[in-house]
Amino acid sequence: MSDEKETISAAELEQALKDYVEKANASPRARKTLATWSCRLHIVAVDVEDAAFTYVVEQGASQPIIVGLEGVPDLVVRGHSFDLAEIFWGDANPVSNYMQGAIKTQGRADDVMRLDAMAMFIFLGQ
Amino acid sequence: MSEQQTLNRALSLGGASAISTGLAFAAINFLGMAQLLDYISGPMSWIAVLAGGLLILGVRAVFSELNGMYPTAAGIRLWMSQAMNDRLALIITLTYMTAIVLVIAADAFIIGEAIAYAFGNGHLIAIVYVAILLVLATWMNLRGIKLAGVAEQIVTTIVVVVTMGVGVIAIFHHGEAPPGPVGGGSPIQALILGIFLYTAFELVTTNAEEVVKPKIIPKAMLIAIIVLAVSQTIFTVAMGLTVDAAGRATAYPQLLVAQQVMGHTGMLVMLGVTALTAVNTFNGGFVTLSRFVYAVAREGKLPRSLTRLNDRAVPVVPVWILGISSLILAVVVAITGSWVMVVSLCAALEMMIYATAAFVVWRLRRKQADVERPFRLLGGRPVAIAFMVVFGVLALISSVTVGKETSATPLILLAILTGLVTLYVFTYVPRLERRDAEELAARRAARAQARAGKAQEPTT
Repeated sequence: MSDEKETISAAELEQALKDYVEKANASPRARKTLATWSCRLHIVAVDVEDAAFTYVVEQGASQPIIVGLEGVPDLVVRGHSFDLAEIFWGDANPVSNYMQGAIKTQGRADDVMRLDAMAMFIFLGQ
Repeated sequence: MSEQQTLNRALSLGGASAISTGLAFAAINFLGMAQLLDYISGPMSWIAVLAGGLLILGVRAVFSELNGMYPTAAGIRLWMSQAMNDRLALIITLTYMTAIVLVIAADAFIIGEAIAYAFGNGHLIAIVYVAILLVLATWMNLRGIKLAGVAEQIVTTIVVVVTMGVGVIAIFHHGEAPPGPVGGGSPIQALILGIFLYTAFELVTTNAEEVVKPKIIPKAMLIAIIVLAVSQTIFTVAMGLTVDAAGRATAYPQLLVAQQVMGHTGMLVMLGVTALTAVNTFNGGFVTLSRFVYAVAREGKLPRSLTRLNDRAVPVVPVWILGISSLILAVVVAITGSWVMVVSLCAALEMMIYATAAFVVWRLRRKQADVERPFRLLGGRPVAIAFMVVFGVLALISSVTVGKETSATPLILLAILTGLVTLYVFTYVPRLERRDAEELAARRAARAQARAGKAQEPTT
């Protein structure tokens, strides 16, 4: 979590999120295990202007990414654009970044864990 | 959390206060009160409980400062790793987590014994009750069933109000008070047990991300300390006025208090209260520890098998390990009758973490002097170091005392536990870290290559 991280543009972060949503919906394990999970996430990159997105999960199904912050969130995820992008690319896991303080959240720990579980199902095929 | 934002399902001050109070008010506290009365006479026992509360106010200030800097469920892991070597932070955190296993085991044991006493069953049946309770708690956790916020507030309110009610009745309607402690008191031991009655109140800091106003958590801790001080002072005095040394040496002194002044019905009411304290302990303990183990495993510091989730997104292996280890511990405690030792171990672990937290405040005041602190420990570094010394000494005393006896057994057990954790951290964790670093480097390299290829696409 050094200061020399590469900055990821808002467009690239949006693409990473779109790919993530596609993978999440294509994962039967994620859909099944998180079938009761509904959550509205606000994702904010602190180092890039206008890099704020709304990601809605309804009963385990990921909805299309909304550019900008919409509605009252259940969970807010803030971090450096590179740390956020690494999560949605599947290079780093949300909980690991969270435990090391690279990303900051507001909301219930349960939702953070489910977000992490989703990443694990998508990228590790658990 | 400098920006304030509205959240769905945000935690209120009432909810946070109930969590803090509920986590501290475990069934084992009744045994703590009984032990405290071995060192100080009943009518004077309020001094020890309130003195413990005063020191706990200092602990609150320490945790408020750290929580303000790192308002996250991963706080304890995070602030420790900022202040000291990461390996040392991991050793302390993993060792401290055993306190939760001990409390769960102790609570299961106490309730098992209490049910057996209430229904006239023997010791063996009590062990069966303990097993049933822990199997039930494990099963509920595996099914993802947990107490919702409102239910938690109701449970905690009932526990506090009924405990106070029974205590007040006992104080005003007791018979002849039993004699005070034999062989003189011990103010330090009484103080340690007084502090013990509040321990775990600080775990509410793991809910810091669920509040929209940073002030809620420190306020909730303050409310919890006041509620715990009042309710437990009343009940400790009541116990001292109604139950003799033999009664206090049982695993269910709180039932005897109620039975003395309210008969069989009162005893059953207190049995209900005891069971409700366990609801909070099992609910909070299982969830906190299993999720923490999962997170540390995802961080790459514990084996990957601990990250396996079931179809309800519950980390299966940590829940099983917690259930089985609590059961084994509870059965060992039941067979050996060593619950007094459990109180010593838990007290020592809690004092250790309080001393560590004070050290972290002291260290970060210099190392991270510029970091925003919504709350500051009054008196700064000198006060932090004073807290560290005080709680360090109290941890040492707790670890060489079992009841009224001086015994090195708790210290030896803690040394063995810490030794095993240290061995793990220095031999196995580096292998896990190496593997994770290699995998991350490979993923990053592949990603960089893919992005480079994409960037070149329009020009080729």
